[in-house]
Amino acid sequence: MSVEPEVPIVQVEEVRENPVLYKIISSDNHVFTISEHAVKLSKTLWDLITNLGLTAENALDNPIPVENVNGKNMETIVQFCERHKYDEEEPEYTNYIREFVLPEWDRQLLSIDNEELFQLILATNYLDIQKLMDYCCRVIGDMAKDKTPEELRIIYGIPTDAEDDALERSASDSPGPSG
Amino acid sequence: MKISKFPWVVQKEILRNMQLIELILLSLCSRKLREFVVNMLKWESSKLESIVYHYWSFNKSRIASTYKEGEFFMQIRLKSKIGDRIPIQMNFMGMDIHMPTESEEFTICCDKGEGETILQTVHHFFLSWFGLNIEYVLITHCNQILRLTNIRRSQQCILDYKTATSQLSSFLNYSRFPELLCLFVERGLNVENVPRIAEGKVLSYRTSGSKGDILLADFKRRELYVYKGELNDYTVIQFSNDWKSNNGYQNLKVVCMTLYEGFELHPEEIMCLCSIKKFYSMNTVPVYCHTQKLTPNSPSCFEFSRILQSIIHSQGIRWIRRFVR
Repeated sequence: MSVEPEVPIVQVEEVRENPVLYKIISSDNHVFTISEHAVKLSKTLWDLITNLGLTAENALDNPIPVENVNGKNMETIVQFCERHKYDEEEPEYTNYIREFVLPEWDRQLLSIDNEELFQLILATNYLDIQKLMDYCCRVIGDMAKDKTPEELRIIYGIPTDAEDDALERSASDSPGPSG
Repeated sequence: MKISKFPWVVQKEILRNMQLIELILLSLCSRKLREFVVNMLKWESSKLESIVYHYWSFNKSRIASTYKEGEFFMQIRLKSKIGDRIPIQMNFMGMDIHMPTESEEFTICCDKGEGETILQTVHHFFLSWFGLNIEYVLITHCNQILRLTNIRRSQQCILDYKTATSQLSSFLNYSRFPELLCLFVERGLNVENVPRIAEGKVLSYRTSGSKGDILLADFKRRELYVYKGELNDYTVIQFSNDWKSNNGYQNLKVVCMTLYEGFELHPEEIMCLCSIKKFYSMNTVPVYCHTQKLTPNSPSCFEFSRILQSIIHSQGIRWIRRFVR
């Protein structure tokens, strides 16, 4: 598989420690390079790389298309993964809440408007990057601090009971697939 | 941003990052969201083990939970105590309340005399959410016993001569005898005879000069701790013989009693009249006593008389210590 990039390659970070690099193409045809350690943070991408049998020799010749993530989000994701690629692996957890402090660097990275954050979370969920998901959810969770229910309703776009009921009614009234 | 547009797993992650009070406030936004929050908290039940009500006075109480480090997350304060902060009016748990801004913890302003009612409403709210799947704990730091239902552990101060018996009876009727009841009783109040006082699994009774003999005779549950009890040889003999013959004491694991000044036991006479002639490490009368002054709140520092030396039910001791602390 070989896809010629139509736009300049975005060099997010020079990687000296690890010579193995991969190319990723976003939905809007931006091309990114990412190191092996960094790409491993994304379970989806790493599974793809493994299944495609990409190696140090052929990785750069075989860019990986990611249809669900645009260039803007991919840039943030690559930055994040490069930043955290050598972090210690976090223990598995099931029922327990992770207690962590959101580092300032990451807080800055995620200081984006709500719609962008929404899209970034969807991308993060698709690429299955647990740490970035934790951080994004912390940012959204922090928005609830010291807010009244009415303020929370606005921040999170929560419909009232009446609106929920109206939605359900319209859903049940709408014709099914057969018309 | 519409939180409902996120995938379900993402919504759950967002909620897991919130404090309990934020989840409560979020749940007040809509019926659907409330169901989601309640279900999520049930899944997180390993974290939400208990809710603890601390009651200092009619104008101050605070509530903590084991969710996220067991911090206080809510308080009820008299309006006049919140200073210059501007209160926001809102409907909370069915109450029209005022919440001051810039509080360290979520604060409900109340008028004089409203504190107990508000605390009861908050408690009913949690009961409606979690039922009896979690533990409710009530600790009062003043001379007022609150009437809250389904309290599993409680520490109460009983200081008022006029109302002691009626307040304690009322509480026991409401709470259906908590599993653990720790009473700090003013000397001379003698509430040992209050009905149902001995029906909880664990009773800790702390006063100067309590009727240790009554408590020892009446208490048939798991653990009894009495600080400075009045006790005599006859009661110990009677208890020892009843215990030996399993006469109502089958469930009793620990009796931990210190003697009030002026009271002494006579081990030789007890031994003569007691049907237990020898105390083995695994078959001992669980009576501990001594006459030295105790360090408050440190049951483990008890010294035991030589003749009635016994085993310590270590788990019970740890439980008490954790509770008292």
